[in-house]
Amino acid sequence: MVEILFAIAAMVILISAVSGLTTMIEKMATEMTMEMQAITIAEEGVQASISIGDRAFSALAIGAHGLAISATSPIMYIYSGASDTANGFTRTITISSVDADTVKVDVTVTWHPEPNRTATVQEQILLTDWAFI
Amino acid sequence: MRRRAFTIIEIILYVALLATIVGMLMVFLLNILARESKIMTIMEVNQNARFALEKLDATIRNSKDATTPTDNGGTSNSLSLTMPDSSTIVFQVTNGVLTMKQGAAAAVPLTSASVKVSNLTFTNLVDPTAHARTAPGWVPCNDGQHNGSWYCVICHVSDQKDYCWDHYPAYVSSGWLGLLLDLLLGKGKLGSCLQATAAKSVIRMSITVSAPPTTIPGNNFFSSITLYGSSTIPRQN
Repeated sequence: MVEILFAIAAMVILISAVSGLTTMIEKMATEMTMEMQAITIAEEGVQASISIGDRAFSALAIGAHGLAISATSPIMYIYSGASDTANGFTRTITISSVDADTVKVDVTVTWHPEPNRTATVQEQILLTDWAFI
Repeated sequence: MRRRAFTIIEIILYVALLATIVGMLMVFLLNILARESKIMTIMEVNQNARFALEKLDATIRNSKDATTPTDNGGTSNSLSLTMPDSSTIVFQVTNGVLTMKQGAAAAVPLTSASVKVSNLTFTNLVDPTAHARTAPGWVPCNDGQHNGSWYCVICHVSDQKDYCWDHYPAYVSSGWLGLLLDLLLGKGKLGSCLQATAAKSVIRMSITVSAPPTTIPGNNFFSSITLYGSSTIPRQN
Protein backbone atom coordinates (compact mmCIF):
# COMPACT_ATOMS: atom_id res chain seq x y z
CA MET A 1 0.00 0.00 0.00
CA VAL A 2 2.90 2.33 0.81
CA GLU A 3 4.42 1.70 -2.63
CA ILE A 4 1.12 2.58 -4.26
CA LEU A 5 0.87 5.82 -2.33
CA PHE A 6 4.44 6.71 -3.35
CA ALA A 7 3.63 5.91 -6.97
CA ILE A 8 0.51 8.09 -6.83
CA ALA A 9 2.45 10.95 -5.25
CA ALA A 10 5.18 10.71 -7.87
CA MET A 11 2.61 10.67 -10.66
CA VAL A 12 0.75 13.67 -9.24
CA ILE A 13 4.02 15.64 -9.01
CA LEU A 14 4.94 14.71 -12.58
CA ILE A 15 1.53 15.57 -13.96
CA SER A 16 1.44 18.85 -12.06
CA ALA A 17 4.85 19.78 -13.41
CA VAL A 18 3.90 19.00 -17.01
CA SER A 19 0.55 20.76 -16.61
CA GLY A 20 2.20 23.81 -15.05
CA LEU A 21 4.78 23.95 -17.83
CA THR A 22 2.09 23.73 -20.50
CA THR A 23 0.05 26.46 -18.81
CA MET A 24 3.14 28.68 -18.68
CA ILE A 25 3.92 28.13 -22.38
CA GLU A 26 0.26 28.81 -23.22
CA LYS A 27 0.37 32.06 -21.26
CA MET A 28 3.63 33.06 -22.98
CA ALA A 29 2.11 32.38 -26.41
CA THR A 30 -0.95 34.50 -25.57
CA GLU A 31 1.21 37.34 -24.28
CA MET A 32 3.44 37.07 -27.35
CA THR A 33 0.36 37.68 -29.48
CA MET A 34 -0.39 40.87 -27.55
CA GLU A 35 3.23 41.99 -27.69
CA MET A 36 3.31 41.45 -31.44
CA GLN A 37 0.23 43.64 -31.81
CA ALA A 38 1.80 46.28 -29.56
CA ILE A 39 5.01 46.29 -31.63
CA THR A 40 3.12 46.88 -34.88
CA ILE A 41 1.13 49.70 -33.23
CA ALA A 42 4.41 51.28 -32.08
CA GLU A 43 5.95 50.84 -35.54
CA GLU A 44 2.93 52.59 -37.04
CA GLY A 45 3.56 55.48 -34.65
CA VAL A 46 7.15 55.74 -35.87
CA GLN A 47 6.16 55.65 -39.56
CA ALA A 48 3.39 58.18 -38.97
CA SER A 49 5.84 60.53 -37.24
CA ILE A 50 8.22 60.26 -40.20
CA SER A 51 5.32 61.12 -42.50
CA ILE A 52 4.25 64.09 -40.36
CA GLY A 53 7.84 65.35 -40.17
CA ASP A 54 8.30 65.01 -43.94
CA ARG A 55 5.22 67.13 -44.47
CA ALA A 56 6.29 69.87 -42.08
CA PHE A 57 9.08 69.44 -39.60
CA SER A 58 7.49 72.09 -37.39
CA ALA A 59 4.52 69.74 -36.91
CA LEU A 60 6.77 67.57 -34.73
CA ALA A 61 5.84 69.62 -31.67
CA ILE A 62 7.68 68.93 -28.43
CA GLY A 63 5.45 67.00 -25.99
CA ALA A 64 3.20 63.94 -25.78
CA HIS A 65 0.82 63.14 -28.61
CA GLY A 66 -1.76 60.62 -29.70
CA LEU A 67 -2.10 59.59 -33.34
CA ALA A 68 -5.14 60.13 -35.55
CA ILE A 69 -6.12 60.46 -39.16
CA SER A 70 -7.51 63.79 -40.29
CA ALA A 71 -11.23 63.79 -40.94
CA THR A 72 -11.13 66.27 -43.81
CA SER A 73 -8.98 66.54 -46.91
CA PRO A 74 -6.05 66.21 -47.10
CA ILE A 75 -6.42 62.85 -45.35
CA MET A 76 -3.21 62.19 -43.48
CA TYR A 77 -1.66 61.28 -40.14
CA ILE A 78 -1.98 63.99 -37.52
CA TYR A 79 -1.22 64.25 -33.82
CA SER A 80 -4.32 64.47 -31.63
CA GLY A 81 -4.55 64.51 -27.85
CA ALA A 82 -1.87 63.21 -25.49
CA SER A 83 -2.35 59.53 -26.44
CA ASP A 84 -4.62 57.27 -28.46
CA THR A 85 -6.21 53.96 -27.51
CA ALA A 86 -7.38 51.07 -29.69
CA ASN A 87 -8.20 47.44 -28.85
CA GLY A 88 -6.88 47.85 -25.30
CA PHE A 89 -3.52 49.30 -26.41
CA THR A 90 -2.59 52.86 -25.47
CA ARG A 91 -0.02 54.62 -27.65
CA THR A 92 1.86 57.74 -26.59
CA ILE A 93 4.20 59.53 -28.96
CA THR A 94 6.64 61.73 -27.05
CA ILE A 95 8.74 64.22 -28.96
CA SER A 96 11.76 65.83 -27.37
CA SER A 97 14.38 68.17 -28.76
CA VAL A 98 17.92 66.94 -29.46
CA ASP A 99 19.26 70.05 -31.19
CA ALA A 100 17.96 72.82 -33.43
CA ASP A 101 17.40 70.48 -36.38
CA THR A 102 16.80 67.13 -34.69
CA VAL A 103 14.06 65.69 -32.52
CA LYS A 104 13.78 62.36 -30.75
CA VAL A 105 10.51 60.49 -31.18
CA ASP A 106 9.64 57.90 -28.53
CA VAL A 107 6.61 55.74 -29.20
CA THR A 108 5.36 53.87 -26.13
CA VAL A 109 2.56 51.32 -26.25
CA THR A 110 1.09 49.99 -23.00
CA TRP A 111 -1.53 47.33 -22.32
CA HIS A 112 -2.74 45.12 -19.48
CA PRO A 113 -2.03 41.39 -19.99
CA GLU A 114 -3.66 40.88 -16.57
CA PRO A 115 -5.85 43.27 -14.55
CA ASN A 116 -3.05 44.41 -12.24
CA ARG A 117 -0.12 44.17 -14.63
CA THR A 118 1.00 46.64 -17.28
CA ALA A 119 3.23 45.70 -20.19
CA THR A 120 5.10 48.14 -22.40
CA VAL A 121 6.93 48.22 -25.70
CA GLN A 122 8.87 51.21 -26.91
CA GLU A 123 10.38 52.32 -30.20
CA GLN A 124 12.57 55.31 -30.81
CA ILE A 125 13.75 57.29 -33.80
CA LEU A 126 15.70 60.49 -34.42
CA LEU A 127 14.29 62.78 -37.10
CA THR A 128 16.28 65.57 -38.75
CA ASP A 129 14.99 68.63 -40.55
CA TRP A 130 16.50 68.33 -44.00
CA ALA A 131 17.05 71.64 -45.72
CA PHE A 132 14.99 71.72 -48.88
CA ILE A 133 17.22 72.19 -51.90
CA MET B 1 5.43 -21.41 3.98
CA ARG B 2 2.00 -20.25 2.97
CA ARG B 3 1.63 -16.75 1.31
CA ARG B 4 -1.27 -14.57 2.32
CA ALA B 5 -3.61 -13.96 -0.64
CA PHE B 6 -5.48 -10.77 -1.55
CA THR B 7 -8.99 -10.52 -0.25
CA ILE B 8 -11.76 -9.61 -2.68
CA ILE B 9 -12.13 -6.24 -0.96
CA GLU B 10 -8.45 -5.46 -1.49
CA ILE B 11 -8.69 -6.37 -5.17
CA ILE B 12 -11.77 -4.16 -5.62
CA LEU B 13 -9.97 -1.33 -3.83
CA TYR B 14 -6.85 -1.67 -5.99
CA VAL B 15 -8.87 -1.83 -9.20
CA ALA B 16 -10.89 1.24 -8.18
CA LEU B 17 -7.70 3.09 -7.33
CA LEU B 18 -6.09 2.11 -10.61
CA ALA B 19 -9.17 3.15 -12.56
CA THR B 20 -9.17 6.53 -10.80
CA ILE B 21 -5.49 7.10 -11.53
CA VAL B 22 -5.83 6.06 -15.17
CA GLY B 23 -8.91 8.25 -15.54
CA MET B 24 -7.14 11.27 -14.05
CA LEU B 25 -4.11 10.59 -16.21
CA MET B 26 -6.28 10.50 -19.33
CA VAL B 27 -7.95 13.80 -18.44
CA PHE B 28 -4.57 15.42 -17.83
CA LEU B 29 -3.12 14.07 -21.07
CA LEU B 30 -6.11 15.24 -23.09
CA ASN B 31 -5.83 18.65 -21.46
CA ILE B 32 -2.14 18.88 -22.25
CA LEU B 33 -2.72 17.82 -25.86
CA ALA B 34 -5.47 20.43 -26.22
CA ARG B 35 -3.24 23.10 -24.73
CA GLU B 36 -0.44 22.12 -27.09
CA SER B 37 -2.94 22.47 -29.94
CA LYS B 38 -3.87 25.93 -28.67
CA ILE B 39 -0.22 26.99 -28.52
CA MET B 40 0.42 25.70 -32.04
CA THR B 41 -2.67 27.57 -33.26
CA ILE B 42 -1.49 30.84 -31.69
CA MET B 43 1.95 30.40 -33.25
CA GLU B 44 0.46 29.61 -36.66
CA VAL B 45 -1.83 32.65 -36.57
CA ASN B 46 0.96 34.96 -35.38
CA GLN B 47 3.47 33.73 -37.95
CA ASN B 48 1.00 34.11 -40.82
CA ALA B 49 -0.03 37.61 -39.75
CA ARG B 50 3.55 38.77 -39.26
CA PHE B 51 4.74 37.30 -42.57
CA ALA B 52 1.82 38.89 -44.44
CA LEU B 53 2.49 42.30 -42.90
CA GLU B 54 6.22 42.13 -43.62
CA LYS B 55 5.61 41.04 -47.22
CA LEU B 56 3.15 43.90 -47.73
CA ASP B 57 5.56 46.38 -46.13
CA ALA B 58 8.55 45.30 -48.25
CA THR B 59 6.54 45.35 -51.48
CA ILE B 60 5.04 48.78 -50.77
CA ARG B 61 8.45 50.26 -49.98
CA ASN B 62 9.85 48.92 -53.26
CA SER B 63 6.95 50.10 -55.38
CA LYS B 64 6.64 53.25 -57.48
CA ASP B 65 3.01 54.13 -56.91
CA ALA B 66 -0.28 52.87 -55.50
CA THR B 67 -3.26 52.97 -57.84
CA THR B 68 -5.67 51.33 -55.39
CA PRO B 69 -6.57 52.74 -52.92
CA THR B 70 -6.53 56.21 -54.41
CA ASP B 71 -4.58 59.15 -52.99
CA ASN B 72 -5.88 61.34 -50.22
CA GLY B 73 -7.85 58.97 -48.03
CA GLY B 74 -8.92 56.25 -50.43
CA THR B 75 -9.77 52.99 -48.62
CA SER B 76 -9.87 49.54 -50.15
CA ASN B 77 -9.77 45.84 -49.31
CA SER B 78 -7.18 45.33 -52.01
CA LEU B 79 -3.89 47.02 -52.81
CA SER B 80 -2.68 47.62 -56.34
CA LEU B 81 0.93 48.73 -56.71
CA THR B 82 2.93 49.83 -59.72
CA MET B 83 6.50 48.59 -59.49
CA PRO B 84 9.61 50.34 -60.85
CA ASP B 85 9.58 48.04 -63.92
CA SER B 86 5.97 49.20 -64.55
CA SER B 87 4.53 45.80 -63.66
CA THR B 88 1.53 45.65 -61.33
CA ILE B 89 1.20 43.75 -58.07
CA VAL B 90 -2.21 43.24 -56.48
CA PHE B 91 -2.81 42.04 -52.92
CA GLN B 92 -6.27 40.87 -51.95
CA VAL B 93 -8.13 38.25 -49.94
CA THR B 94 -9.64 35.33 -51.84
CA ASN B 95 -11.61 32.75 -49.85
CA GLY B 96 -9.89 33.78 -46.64
CA VAL B 97 -6.38 33.57 -48.10
CA LEU B 98 -4.19 36.61 -48.74
CA THR B 99 -2.90 36.42 -52.31
CA MET B 100 -0.34 38.33 -54.33
CA LYS B 101 -0.77 38.59 -58.08
CA GLN B 102 2.02 40.00 -60.21
CA GLY B 103 1.11 41.00 -63.75
CA ALA B 104 -0.56 38.20 -65.68
CA ALA B 105 0.90 35.48 -63.46
CA ALA B 106 -1.35 33.35 -61.28
CA ALA B 107 -2.06 34.66 -57.79
CA VAL B 108 0.27 33.27 -55.13
CA PRO B 109 -1.10 32.55 -51.63
CA LEU B 110 0.76 34.33 -48.83
CA THR B 111 -1.11 32.82 -45.89
CA SER B 112 -1.63 29.15 -45.16
CA ALA B 113 -4.93 27.35 -45.59
CA SER B 114 -5.04 26.60 -41.87
CA VAL B 115 -5.75 30.25 -41.05
CA LYS B 116 -8.29 32.71 -42.35
CA VAL B 117 -7.69 36.35 -43.24
CA SER B 118 -10.96 37.98 -42.24
CA ASN B 119 -10.06 41.63 -42.63
CA LEU B 120 -7.62 43.39 -44.90
CA THR B 121 -7.86 47.17 -45.20
CA PHE B 122 -5.62 49.66 -46.93
CA THR B 123 -5.84 53.45 -46.69
CA ASN B 124 -3.78 55.82 -48.80
CA LEU B 125 -3.04 58.70 -46.48
CA VAL B 126 -1.21 61.13 -48.69
CA ASP B 127 -2.37 63.78 -51.06
CA PRO B 128 0.93 64.25 -52.95
CA THR B 129 0.23 67.90 -53.63
CA ALA B 130 -0.59 68.69 -50.03
CA HIS B 131 2.23 66.51 -48.81
CA ALA B 132 4.97 68.13 -50.88
CA ARG B 133 7.22 70.48 -48.93
CA THR B 134 6.80 73.07 -51.61
CA ALA B 135 4.26 73.51 -54.34
CA PRO B 136 5.16 71.58 -57.47
CA GLY B 137 6.93 73.71 -60.07
CA TRP B 138 10.24 75.46 -60.61
CA VAL B 139 11.95 76.67 -57.45
CA PRO B 140 15.32 78.39 -57.04
CA CYS B 141 18.03 76.46 -55.23
CA ASN B 142 18.57 78.46 -52.11
CA ASP B 143 21.74 76.97 -50.73
CA GLY B 144 23.69 75.90 -53.78
CA GLN B 145 23.44 72.22 -52.74
CA HIS B 146 25.64 70.31 -55.11
CA ASN B 147 24.71 67.35 -57.19
CA GLY B 148 27.94 65.39 -57.22
CA SER B 149 30.49 67.95 -58.46
CA TRP B 150 27.70 70.01 -59.98
CA TYR B 151 25.85 72.79 -58.27
CA CYS B 152 22.12 73.20 -58.47
CA VAL B 153 20.97 76.40 -60.16
CA ILE B 154 17.24 75.84 -60.33
CA CYS B 155 15.07 72.83 -59.60
CA HIS B 156 11.76 71.52 -60.85
CA VAL B 157 9.76 69.84 -58.10
CA SER B 158 6.93 67.42 -58.72
CA ASP B 159 5.28 64.54 -56.90
CA GLN B 160 7.11 62.05 -59.11
CA LYS B 161 10.62 63.16 -59.92
CA ASP B 162 12.62 66.32 -59.47
CA TYR B 163 14.98 67.78 -62.05
CA CYS B 164 17.72 70.31 -61.51
CA TRP B 165 19.58 72.58 -63.82
CA ASP B 166 23.16 72.14 -62.65
CA HIS B 167 26.30 74.17 -63.24
CA TYR B 168 29.96 73.17 -62.85
CA PRO B 169 32.10 73.89 -60.86
CA ALA B 170 30.09 76.52 -59.08
CA TYR B 171 27.10 78.49 -60.15
CA VAL B 172 27.42 82.15 -61.01
CA SER B 173 23.97 82.85 -59.69
CA SER B 174 21.09 80.69 -58.52
CA GLY B 175 17.54 80.79 -59.82
CA TRP B 176 16.37 82.08 -63.17
CA LEU B 177 19.34 84.45 -63.61
CA GLY B 178 21.74 81.53 -63.19
CA LEU B 179 19.82 79.48 -65.71
CA LEU B 180 19.80 82.39 -68.18
CA LEU B 181 23.55 82.93 -67.81
CA ASP B 182 24.20 79.22 -68.25
CA LEU B 183 22.09 79.11 -71.37
CA LEU B 184 23.81 82.20 -72.81
CA LEU B 185 27.25 80.80 -72.00
CA GLY B 186 26.31 77.31 -73.16
CA LYS B 187 27.07 75.72 -69.81
CA GLY B 188 25.24 73.55 -67.31
CA LYS B 189 23.28 70.34 -67.64
CA LEU B 190 19.98 68.83 -66.56
CA GLY B 191 20.30 66.52 -63.56
CA SER B 192 18.39 65.07 -60.66
CA CYS B 193 17.89 67.00 -57.48
CA LEU B 194 19.54 65.96 -54.30
CA GLN B 195 16.97 66.78 -51.71
CA ALA B 196 14.93 65.50 -48.84
CA THR B 197 11.34 65.37 -49.93
CA ALA B 198 8.09 64.02 -48.68
CA ALA B 199 6.91 60.53 -49.52
CA LYS B 200 4.87 59.77 -52.60
CA SER B 201 2.34 57.82 -50.60
CA VAL B 202 1.84 56.45 -47.12
CA ILE B 203 -0.24 53.28 -47.00
CA ARG B 204 -1.89 52.38 -43.71
CA MET B 205 -2.93 48.75 -43.49
CA SER B 206 -4.59 46.41 -41.06
CA ILE B 207 -4.89 42.66 -41.29
CA THR B 208 -6.84 40.25 -39.10
CA VAL B 209 -5.81 36.60 -39.14
CA SER B 210 -7.71 33.94 -37.22
CA ALA B 211 -7.84 30.18 -36.86
CA PRO B 212 -10.81 27.85 -36.37
CA PRO B 213 -11.84 27.45 -32.71
CA THR B 214 -9.79 24.98 -30.69
CA THR B 215 -11.78 23.16 -28.05
CA ILE B 216 -10.12 22.60 -24.71
CA PRO B 217 -12.13 20.87 -21.99
CA GLY B 218 -14.01 23.70 -20.35
CA ASN B 219 -12.55 26.33 -22.65
CA ASN B 220 -13.50 27.06 -26.25
CA PHE B 221 -10.53 28.94 -27.61
CA PHE B 222 -10.56 31.26 -30.60
CA SER B 223 -7.22 32.60 -31.80
CA SER B 224 -7.19 35.86 -33.70
CA ILE B 225 -4.71 38.69 -34.20
CA THR B 226 -5.05 42.11 -35.80
CA LEU B 227 -1.87 43.83 -36.88
CA TYR B 228 -1.47 47.39 -38.09
CA GLY B 229 1.20 48.74 -40.37
CA SER B 230 2.20 51.87 -42.19
CA SER B 231 4.53 51.82 -45.19
CA THR B 232 5.89 54.58 -47.34
CA ILE B 233 6.26 54.72 -51.10
CA PRO B 234 9.26 56.96 -51.65
CA ARG B 235 9.39 59.49 -54.42
CA GLN B 236 11.37 58.33 -57.44
CA ASN B 237 14.50 60.45 -57.67
